Amino acid sequence: MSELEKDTLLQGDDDKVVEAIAADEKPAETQAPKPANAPVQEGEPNDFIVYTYKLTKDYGKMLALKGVSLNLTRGKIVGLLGPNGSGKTTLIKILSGLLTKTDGGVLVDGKEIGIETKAVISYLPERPYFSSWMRVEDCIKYFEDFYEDFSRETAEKMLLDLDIDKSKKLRTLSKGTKEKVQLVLVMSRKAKLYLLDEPIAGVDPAARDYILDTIISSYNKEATIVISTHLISDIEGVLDEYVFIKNGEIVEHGNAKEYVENNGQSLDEHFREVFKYVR
Amino acid sequence: MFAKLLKYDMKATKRIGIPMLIGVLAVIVLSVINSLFGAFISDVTYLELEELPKLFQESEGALLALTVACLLGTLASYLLNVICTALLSASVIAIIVINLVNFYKSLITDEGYLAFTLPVSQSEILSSKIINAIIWDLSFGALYLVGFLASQAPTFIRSTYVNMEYMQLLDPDFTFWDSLTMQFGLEGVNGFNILAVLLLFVAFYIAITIALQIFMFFTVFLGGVVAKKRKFLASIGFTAAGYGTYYIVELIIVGIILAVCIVFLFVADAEVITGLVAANLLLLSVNVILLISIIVLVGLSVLFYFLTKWLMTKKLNLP
Repeated sequence: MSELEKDTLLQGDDDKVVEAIAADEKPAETQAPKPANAPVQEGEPNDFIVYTYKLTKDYGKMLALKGVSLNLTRGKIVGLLGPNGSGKTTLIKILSGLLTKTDGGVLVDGKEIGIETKAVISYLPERPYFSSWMRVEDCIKYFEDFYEDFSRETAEKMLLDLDIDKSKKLRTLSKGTKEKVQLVLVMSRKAKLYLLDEPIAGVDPAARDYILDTIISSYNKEATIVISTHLISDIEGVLDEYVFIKNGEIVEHGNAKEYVENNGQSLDEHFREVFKYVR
Repeated sequence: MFAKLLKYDMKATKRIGIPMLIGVLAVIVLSVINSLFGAFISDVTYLELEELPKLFQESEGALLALTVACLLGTLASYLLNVICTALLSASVIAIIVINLVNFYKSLITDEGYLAFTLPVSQSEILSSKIINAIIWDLSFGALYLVGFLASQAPTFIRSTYVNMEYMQLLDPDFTFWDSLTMQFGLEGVNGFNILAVLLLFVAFYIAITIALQIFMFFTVFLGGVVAKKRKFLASIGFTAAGYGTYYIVELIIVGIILAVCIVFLFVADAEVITGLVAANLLLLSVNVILLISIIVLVGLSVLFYFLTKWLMTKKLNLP
């Protein structure tokens, strides 16, 4: 099957796409060689919660993603790590249905990006997205109305823990508190895939531990969490896998705990090494 | 899901929409009171000296004071009328800007992250916002219409009544209804034409409201694509330019149709073309103009709806 036929198919019916990709050769190794501790990536596209195949995104002349092939298994916490402008947010936005891809294939839970995948993805953007006129209670009601997998009980408990008053208007809250509200709502869903773009960047260090504990304890254990952040030292303890992305390419995808055990080096140190700027 | 989207769009816009509706209603009530006041001043101004109370007949000073009061009253009524008209015109522009702000904020700014990650289709998001804006526009439109009729009614009823009294001197059977149709110049005119004009006008208003909202959606995204900075101002500019162009083109086409109609009346046999036929012909041409306008507006609405979707997908990368 030619690349053109495959790409044309990728615009259409989900099942055909899955069959076409599965029947064809396994994704080509277009990126840097994987380390010895790389997670096992074999399987059908349907087996993965995220399956991208030579995923490309350009903004005019700027190439944001260069043929990314990345497969993520279910029930993992994955760190999507890379410097500014490396393509992390673009990848997350394509997965969450906020951006269209330019080329290649992308499946979430075995389906092309669309209404069905949006229903199983819980996405946290890096900026507040609720209207300022809304009260926290309005935001809870909003999620309750649109997401069948949302649990009001979980959200209310977490808000209570974080000492956030439901009756308050968002415009009266600080930026960090707004981000906490969003994170609480996003994590109160029983989604299959959580996409968290910089979830702890805007909150104080004291709240970070609570948030990370919340992420670990409250998420659906069958689900996968993708966390994009610069604050690697804060999150590396909770990661099962890490993905290093640089200039729109995956440069490393490995098992986080095994890496630390085998190399005696933290992920933060490894990240600094890989992304070191040379004078 | 569509109903839920509409519910939240209504919720977001009612915070400004309802106070504005109340404001417009207040201006309309003021306008009606002013109209009654104007009619009263006019009545007093046209009274004969003998009809005035004795005080004014006997004292020149009192008569002068009354004259000055009438002049000042007329001036005040005129100024208030200008102010009310300006406020109502400003409210029309405000409604357009508010709708543009709502479209822009909820789709182009960070709030768009929320809208476009919901498990709903792009068409549902667009339709919900357009229908919400149309509901507000039609509510304001109905209020303006009621306000216009209410403010014009006192003067119009009075002049119809005066006309009836005058005509009854010639024909004692002349009724208020006869006077009313005479005022409109509709005596003996084909009733179908009158009804069609009214219905088509309502349909035209709805069509132009829908077309404008869809066009505004288009300009919001066009502003997002074309302008590098001040995208919202660009959107306002595109809306004004697009609507202005439509208005000028419509004016030219209406002018041509009416000119053709008038030329036809002039060149036709004067004995055949009576006033009644001319009136019917003019009403018919108005009907044709309205019908063509509605068809054009429906076509433009469809065109801009799909152009908007194309811009969203192809230029703004929104799925």
